[in-house]
Amino acid sequence: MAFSLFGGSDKKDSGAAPTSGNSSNVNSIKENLQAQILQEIALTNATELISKISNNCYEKCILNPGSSLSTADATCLDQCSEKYIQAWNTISRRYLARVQSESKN
Amino acid sequence: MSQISKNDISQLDEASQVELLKFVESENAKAKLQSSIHMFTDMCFKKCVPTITMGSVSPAESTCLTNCVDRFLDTNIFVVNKISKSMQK
Repeated sequence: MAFSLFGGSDKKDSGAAPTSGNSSNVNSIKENLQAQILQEIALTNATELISKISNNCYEKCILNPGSSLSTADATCLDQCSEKYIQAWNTISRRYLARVQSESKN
Repeated sequence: MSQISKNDISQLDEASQVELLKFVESENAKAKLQSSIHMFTDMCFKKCVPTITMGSVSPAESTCLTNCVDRFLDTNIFVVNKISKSMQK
């Protein structure tokens, strides 16, 4: 019982067949690991985007910090965020196209 | 968030481990590209979008953004060539 508190399993005790070599188990382990990796990468990407948009749009929109976000502030932030994401897509397309054409040379 | 456990990986047969390694390598390369794109967008947004007047990128701004990336890459190549030439002397 104490073993399970540390995240261990009691597969050995149950007398079940060893799991290594069982192909469906191997596939699900592999898929889980791949899914975890993809999730980490997606999270990193989102975090980076949020950070960049916050910094850039704060600089462009909040010129005189008041005691709260005004409607004008909110509109500017909204427009700025949209613009930034569009810019990201434009640059992503161009950069990837360039990388592909450079690698062909 | 769940963690990738060594126990899980050790249960995989060698072919699966190799496949996973290749997957990690390929995702790593993609992540590096994405990181570069973040850097370029940050830099070029500052250069090309001085004020926020509307919620979309204008054609002029779009041209500026693509020029910005291209010229930065040209600059990088230029600097690499120059430095490598001076290192050969």
